[in-house]
Amino acid sequence: MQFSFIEWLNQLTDSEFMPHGMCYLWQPATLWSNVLGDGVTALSYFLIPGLLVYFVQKKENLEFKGVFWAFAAFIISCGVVHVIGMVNVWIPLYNLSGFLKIVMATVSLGTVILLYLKLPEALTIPTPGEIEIVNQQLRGEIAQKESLQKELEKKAEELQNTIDALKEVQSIAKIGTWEVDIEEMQCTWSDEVYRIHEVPQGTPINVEDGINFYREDYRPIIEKAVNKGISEDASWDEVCVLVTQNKREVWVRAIGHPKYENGELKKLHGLFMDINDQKIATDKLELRERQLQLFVQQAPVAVAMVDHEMKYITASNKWYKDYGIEGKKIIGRSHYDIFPEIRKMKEWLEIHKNALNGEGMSREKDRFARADGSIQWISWKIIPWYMNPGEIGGIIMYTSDITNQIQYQEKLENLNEVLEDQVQKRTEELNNANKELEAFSYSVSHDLRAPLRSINGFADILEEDYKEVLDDEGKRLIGIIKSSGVKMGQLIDDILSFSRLGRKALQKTDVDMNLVFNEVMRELDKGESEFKLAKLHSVKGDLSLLKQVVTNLVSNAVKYSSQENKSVVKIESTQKDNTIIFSIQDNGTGFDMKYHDKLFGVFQRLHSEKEFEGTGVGLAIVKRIITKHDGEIWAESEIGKGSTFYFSLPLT
Amino acid sequence: MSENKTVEILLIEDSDQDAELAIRALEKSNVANEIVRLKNGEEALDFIFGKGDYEHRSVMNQPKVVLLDLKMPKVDGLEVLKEIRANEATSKLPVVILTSSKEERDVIKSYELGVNSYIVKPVDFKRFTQAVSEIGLYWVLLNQKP
Repeated sequence: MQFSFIEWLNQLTDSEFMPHGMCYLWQPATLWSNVLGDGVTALSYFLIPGLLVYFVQKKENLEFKGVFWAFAAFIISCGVVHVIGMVNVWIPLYNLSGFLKIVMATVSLGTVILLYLKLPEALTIPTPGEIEIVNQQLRGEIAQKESLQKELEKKAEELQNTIDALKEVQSIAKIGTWEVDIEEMQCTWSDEVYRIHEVPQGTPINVEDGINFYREDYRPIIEKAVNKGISEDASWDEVCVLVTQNKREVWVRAIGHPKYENGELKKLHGLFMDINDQKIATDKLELRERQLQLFVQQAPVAVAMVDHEMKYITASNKWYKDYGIEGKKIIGRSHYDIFPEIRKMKEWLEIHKNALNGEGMSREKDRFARADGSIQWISWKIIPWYMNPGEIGGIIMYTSDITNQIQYQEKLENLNEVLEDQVQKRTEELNNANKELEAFSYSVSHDLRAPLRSINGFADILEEDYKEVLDDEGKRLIGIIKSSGVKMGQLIDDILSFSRLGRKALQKTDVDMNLVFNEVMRELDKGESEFKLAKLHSVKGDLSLLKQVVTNLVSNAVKYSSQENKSVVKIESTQKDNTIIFSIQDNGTGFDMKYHDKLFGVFQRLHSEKEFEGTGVGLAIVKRIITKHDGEIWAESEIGKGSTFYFSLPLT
Repeated sequence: MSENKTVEILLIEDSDQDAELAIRALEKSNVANEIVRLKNGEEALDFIFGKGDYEHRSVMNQPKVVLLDLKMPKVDGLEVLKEIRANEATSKLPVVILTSSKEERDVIKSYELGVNSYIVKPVDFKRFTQAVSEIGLYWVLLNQKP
């Protein structure tokens, strides 16, 4: 049998029953109370699902939406049953009513089942009270979170400030940071690194670009450092010259470290600094320091500088050499550690102390007993040096090793002593010789004279006592004996006075030569000669010796003029520079200038005894006296025309 | 020789020739009757101070003048002069040095020792004779002894 919906509907509406109103007996009160009750209920039942749907639609996140839908369906079906109940009052559609009731029952049962199933879940839904508690907790948490948030914001601000400050510091200190991604070989530079390179910020830079900014001679250094950083996990710190975008050369310091992530080398990072100013300043300082060091070290004197603790700051090479400490490390070490012997020298310790208190000192000659027992002689000067005005930084010591000098001096003194001894010995020998000579001349003067006197005396007696017996020839012979004796006496006298001159010291006084010549002339004048005496200069000399000179020369002039008719002796003096020259001119016999050399020799004669008497000693004596006066003597002559004798004497 | 006879001139001279010449000159001028000649300083000191060969001579009996040569063997003239002047009894005895020496130091030394006169014997005999006679004349006849 085929089911037909229309037929089914017809069956539902087909009724052979009486309307339900019949049951109410059409009583209006009963009828209308039921109809109205059903009607209002049905209306309400239709409105409730509408509100529910509205509610569900409004509450998006509402749980148990199915339950709501089930309630809505259940209530609508109830409403429909009430509507059919009202219809049944007048139209008996009891089949339909039953059908609708079954639908309602089904929906109700389904709802019950659904509710039952959802109940445990629904039990977990908190009550409003519980929700309030939870809400309160939540509000607390929220407040806490908010304050944390604020704090975080503050921290973030601070962090920003710090970052800004760091940036400023980087900019002022010219320090930047950099990073290299090893996979991409791309650089990340901080602002300052860009600035140092004089490259616009944000310009993409790879490792090769970065390395090419270094000056050619520094590129291999950086390349090597980077490669080592990658391959050997090594950090680096290099000072290099960078050529900026604007072709400016700048000293930089590049520091780099490898950076690991999860145990794997990912990056290189580090610092980059512009140290140009410092580097130039440091270089200048180093140069200055080197210059000063060189200056001190090469100074040709021993000089050292120590601080207030007597620790060496610097010393010249000569200092090391003079004190035998070449190769020893003394800088930074105490003077007293280098020379422990000074610790025992109270005087020097005191001098150092005084110098450190501002009182410099020096000494020409000082003895330094070295630890090894040797003795060093030094001359020294110690002065304080000042760190600031009024603040003594230490002392500077200049010394000069005069050991050799002292030794030379000692040697010289010894030598002098030896020489003095020798001189004394020689003088003694000379004195002895002189004494012997004196004894000799004494003997000569005494002993030679005595027999001479006998010869003369007894010849005289012979002549006197035997006058009658002797003939003329005998008398002539006795005369020869006598004159020979007299001559020999004269000879002895001359020799003695000549030898005496050698050892006699000059007794110099002012001598008026006018007086000397006048006196001599008076003694010699026999009226045979004419003396022409000019005004003469005065000199300094030994009066008695000069008188002898004048006597000898004037008597010579007179003697050698004696054969002339009228002898004229002319005496003059002239000043030439610092000497006075005297001249004694005669018009006598003269001599041959050929023999000029022999004129002043002892026993040298240019004339025979027969022509002119003489022993040949007179001019030798004159020469000796003049020479002793630091003067000179010479003569000019022409045979037959006379001679001129000159002698010069110094003015003083 | 009588030991205490009066002596007018004591001649101390080592040279016989000089002594003879001097005595001849003195005799010729008749100034002295009593002349004693001694040959050296030692003898002279013995004579003057009465010692040795002359121990019987009185020190008080002294000549009018002593003519003293300087250069003599044993004790020389300067030593004799020194002894004479050192002794109180003879300190004022006239002593004349009669010598050949012209040496200045001899002259000075002699005067320092207190000689009364210093005569250099002239080489020339005539002058020698003259000098000795004059000495005799002066000291024996003219000079007044203290």
